[in-house]
Formats: sequence, C-alpha cells, structure tokens
Amino acid sequence: MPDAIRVEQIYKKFRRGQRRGSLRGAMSNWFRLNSDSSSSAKLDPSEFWAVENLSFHVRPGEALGIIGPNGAGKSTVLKLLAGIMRPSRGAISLQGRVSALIEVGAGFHPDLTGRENIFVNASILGMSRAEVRHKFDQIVNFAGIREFLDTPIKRYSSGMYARLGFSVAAHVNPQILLVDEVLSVGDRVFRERCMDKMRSFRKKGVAIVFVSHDLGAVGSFCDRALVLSGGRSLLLADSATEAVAYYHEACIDKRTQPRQSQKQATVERLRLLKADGTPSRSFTSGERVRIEFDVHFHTDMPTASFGLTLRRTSDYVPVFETSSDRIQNEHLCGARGSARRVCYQIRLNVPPGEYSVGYHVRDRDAEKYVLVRDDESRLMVLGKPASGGLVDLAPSVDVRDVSGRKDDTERTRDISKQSAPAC
Amino acid sequence: MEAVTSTHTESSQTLLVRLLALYRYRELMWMLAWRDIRVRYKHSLLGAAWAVMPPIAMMLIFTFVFSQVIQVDKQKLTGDAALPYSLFAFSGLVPWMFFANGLTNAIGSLVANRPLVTKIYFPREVFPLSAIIGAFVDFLVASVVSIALAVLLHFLPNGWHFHLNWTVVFLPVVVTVQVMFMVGLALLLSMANLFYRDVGFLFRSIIQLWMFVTCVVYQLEATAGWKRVVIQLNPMTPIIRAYRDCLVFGRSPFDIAFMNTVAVSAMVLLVGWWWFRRREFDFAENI
Repeated sequence: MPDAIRVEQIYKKFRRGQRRGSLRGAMSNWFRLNSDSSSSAKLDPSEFWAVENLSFHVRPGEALGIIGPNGAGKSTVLKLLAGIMRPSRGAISLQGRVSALIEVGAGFHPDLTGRENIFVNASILGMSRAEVRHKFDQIVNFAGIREFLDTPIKRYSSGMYARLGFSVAAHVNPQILLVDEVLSVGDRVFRERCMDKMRSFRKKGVAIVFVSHDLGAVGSFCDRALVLSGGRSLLLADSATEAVAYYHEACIDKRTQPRQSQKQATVERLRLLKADGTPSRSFTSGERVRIEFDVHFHTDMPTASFGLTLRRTSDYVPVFETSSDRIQNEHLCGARGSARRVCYQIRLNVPPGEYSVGYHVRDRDAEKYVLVRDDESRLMVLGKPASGGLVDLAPSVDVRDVSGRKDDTERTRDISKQSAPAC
Repeated sequence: MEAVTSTHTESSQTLLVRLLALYRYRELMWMLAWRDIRVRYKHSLLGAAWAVMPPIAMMLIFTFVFSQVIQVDKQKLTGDAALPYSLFAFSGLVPWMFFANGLTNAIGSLVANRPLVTKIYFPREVFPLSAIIGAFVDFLVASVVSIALAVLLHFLPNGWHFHLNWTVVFLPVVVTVQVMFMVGLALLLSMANLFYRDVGFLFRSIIQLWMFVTCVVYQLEATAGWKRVVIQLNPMTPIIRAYRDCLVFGRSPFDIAFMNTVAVSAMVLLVGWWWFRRREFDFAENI
C-alpha cells in the first residue's frame, strides 16, 4: 500500500524578531514577490532552522507520534503537513483528505449558537452541508450538549466548547488526521472517548500524526514515534515506547543533569537481587527485591541522597519513587574519592508486567540532581494477572446473593449517595 | 469521500485548477458569509433592515443638500430635469455602497480570521471572497428597496413615470464587471493589509474621497477640465454610469470608457490573484 504521508528531507527556515525595518526595506521585500531567500540553503544571522532535514513516512492505518521538548518544531511540522506553511526545501506529499485537529473549534463565533457553529466549523473542516445534516445527531450526542444546542456558545463552559469542537472534527471522514495536543482539554472521560475515536479511525485505515506531551498517550497509542529536538530528528523508532524511553534519556534528563565532563558522581554495578541474594531479572508479584548500586563521589557532597524510581515500560508512568532522605530523614555525607553502596529493599506489590528501574543522586544543598538515570535496568514481574493498573492492592472478593433483602440494598444506596461527591 | 493528492512543493497550479479547488470550497464561502451576516445583525432589533439604512440616509442627505441647501441646476446635475434626484442618487449609491462595504470588509478579512489562517488550510481566497459575498447580500436587499422607491415615485404626482427599458438585460454584465474589479482589489489589499496594517487605515480614508471622484451623486457631464479627466480615468465611474444607463436612462452602457474598465478589472483580477497565490504560504508566518 502506498504511504499516506511522505516527507522527504524538509527544511523550514524562520526569522528571529520582526521583519520590518525601514519603509524602503519593506517595499523592496514586498516587491521581491516570493521571498527567494526562504528557499536558499544558507542562513542569515537573523534566521534559524525550525525544521532541519526531516524525513518520515506514514502508512494508512498507522499512527506516528511526535514528541520533543517545547520549541522542538513539533507544531511547525504539523503546520507543514497541514499545508499552512510550505517547507523552505524538501518535499511533502499526502494521499487523501487531511483533517487537522490543531485547534478545536476553529472559526467558532461566540455569538452564534451551538447548532450554527456546528455547521460553520464543519464546513471549515471540509464537510459538506449534506454530510453535516446526516451526522448532526452523532455530533451532538458525542459532544453531549443537546440541551444547549440553541444557546450562544459564549455561555458555554470551556469544557463544553472543547467537546463540541472535537466532536465536529471527529466526524470529518479524513484519510489523514493530524492531532496537536488538543486532548488536554476536557475531562478524563471525554479524553478517553477521544482516544477511542482515534483508535477507530486508525482501524479504518486513517494515517494519524499525533503530537503530544502526554508521553503515556503517545506510548500506548502510537505504532511508531519520532523524537524531535531543535528541529532535528533524534530518533525515528519502530516502537513508540522505545522512542518515549529514549526521549526520557536524551531530553528530559539533560535538563537536570550536568554535562559529562563535570560529573560530580557516577553510579556503577546496579544489581537486582532476590531475597536470598541471587541476581535475577524476573520476580513474582509481591516478592521482595533488593536493588543495589555503588555511588562514586568525584566532589565533596555534604548532603547527598539517593533515589529510586520504578516505571511501567509500556507507557513510562512512574509507579513508585523514593529517596534515601525521605526514608531515613537524614542526609549522607559523600567525600571526594569515596564510594557508597546503596541497598534498597522493596516489595513488588505491582501487577505483572515489565518495569524499568532508575536511580538518582541528589545534592540537597545545591538543590540539584547530580545524576539521573531513568531506564537503567529492566525487571519482569510474573504472576497471575489478577489485577491491572499501577499497584497491586492485594484484592479479595466476596459476591453474595442479596435478592429479596430490602434493608441491605437500602443501606448500599445510602453509602453510594454519601460517596458520590467524592467521585 | 474524495481522494485528494497534494504536494505542497508543487509550485504553481494553473488558474483553472485553482478555480476548481475554489469551487470545491463554495459551501465554505457561503458559510463564512452567512456567519458574518448573522453576527452583524444578531444583536440589532431591526436586523437586516440595517442593510438598506446607509444608502437611504446618504440619498436623503444629498437630496436635501442639492435641492434645499444649495439650488443646483438639475439638468446639469443629473442630465434629466424630469428625473427625481432621489432616484438618481439612490441608483448610484446602492452599487457604490456594495463596492465600499465589500472592500472594507474584505481588506480586514484575513487579519480578522487569524486563528483560521494560522491553524487550518483551505484556499485563502475564501476569506476576501466571502466578505464580498456578505456585502453582495446587502446589495441585493438594497436593490429591492430601489425598486420600491421607483414604484413609489411612479405613483407620486411629480410628472415622472417609470419605464422599464430592455437595456436592463445588461445589468448582470455590469454587476459581473464590478465584482471582478472588487475581487481583484480585495485580493491585493487584504494581502497587503496582512503584511502592513497601514493599508487598512489608509483605505478607510481613501474610500471616502473615492466616492466623490466617482459619479455617484452627480453626472460626469456636470464636471469640467482636468477634474473631469481624473473622474473619467477612475474605473468605478463607468460602472456606476452603466447601472444608471441600464436602469434609468434606457441606454446601452457599453461605451469606450466601460470597455476600458472591463480591461482594467480583468487585469486587476489576474494580477491580484496571481500575486495572492504566490504569497499565500507566507501568510501564517507574517499575520
């Protein structure tokens, strides 16, 4: 099957600061017609590459995640794909109708009612009037705003606004869907529904490009992922989880970690041990595990602490975090040239699955992390999958027949009423 | 679902291909025009009646000035002493208001829709075009009023009677030429305004002046000397005259000056459109 999206070595040049200087400069710029300078390979001092030598393909039915720190060029890539901007160099070709969820509720006018805005917004997204009329009920139901259909949307809550916007966009029948961080609005239930909708799009063979800072969502939803930084591709991984892990390593840690040359401490010999001291990588749910590592100090560090992090590898969600100062409530002194062995004991009260083990060394006085490693080792937790989620709360269950026992059901209703506001 | 293949770097589609693309977005154009009209009159009690108020007010003002404040020779002012001045003025003011309002709306249209320009792609011509469509709807409403005015004057005892002339069939041609001229200017000026907001401010002053160098409230023959030359060179003059020729005087509107305007309009449209398409992809960065 041909690729739905082909991006071949695209470059996009941006200008720092304001373009206009003198009126004369402005005039000559204006008469230059097609800004020749934007396509040349050279950079003016005032210019920079927002996207540099980027290539990727997306097949129909495939979801590509794009992750990276702020200013990495993620939104620019989406704008280039959407056709709002043209690359300075390189080629983009798209097969099929493109729908861009770059902004929800594009073209919504606050004075118009929900009903009127559905029609305006849908035609902006490329739907015909007949198509909207046909799908009108689905759109309204998905957004859940039926009773406010004839209310001007300036009276809508921001959540309703976003739901209506996404709902219209979700009913366009695209072959290529571009999504930019729009799901962060709306409540959890609505977010899940959005993800379901995107899954069903993918099943129908829609090619999806998904930009998000929600690494969990990228890790679990996307087939492949691209890590961008400073406009350049750091990694195009065939598994989204791999890309997420790499991004953690390469970008997030970099901010908290000094450069290699000025390392203040190093960690060696990370070991995972069973209770009897034998090294292992796989454990059963609920088993006690010893995690040891040696810290070598290259500077004096009067108030050092050592932390441990356990993350679920499927989506990189932290399952557990701790540090020595939190457990012992005191700091350790590390003298230059000395070494310490840190030995953690934890009980793996987590559901079966793969987890990554990370550690950090923190200098409290300097208020900084001296060393952070997030995915240093992996461990498998085996066992019956009796539970899901993040932690194993050691469940037991008892199901009884209560048909015909009126007082009991009354009481249950009372309880559910009391606990309702907490939900 | 249509299958669309697009290559963003493919530099120039022909105008015909582009026209077809625009045709696919006709519903969007109507929708945006409808949205603007709806929003414009939503919070007013009289609603769409406001579409006809400005030309009526102007007509009343000029009628008062030229018949009460200063006495002007009507034969010289309109070319026909029997013709009520109010009808003469109105037949010029309605198309003029279409021109002035359409362009004023269109010039700000790209900037006013900044979120759409920076976030969603469709041919950007849609914005100025839908602004002109919005003004066109007002024009149609005002045209109905001008028919009502003609009928009213017909029955008033002022010695003037309305004759519908066969030349009315040329009216669509005149409207088309005006729309061509307007679209060309709207594309150029809305784009210019996106890069330099000075254009919008400047235009608001110029359009006031422009009305008086166009034969809206007097006939060309009432002027003389170099002023007449200037007024004749203005492409809007033959258009406004053509409306009156078709409707009021029963003359064929196609003289040399009108043909000249047709040529100018076509040129402005082609140049405006060509230029607009060349700069289109710089809009999002510069808006």
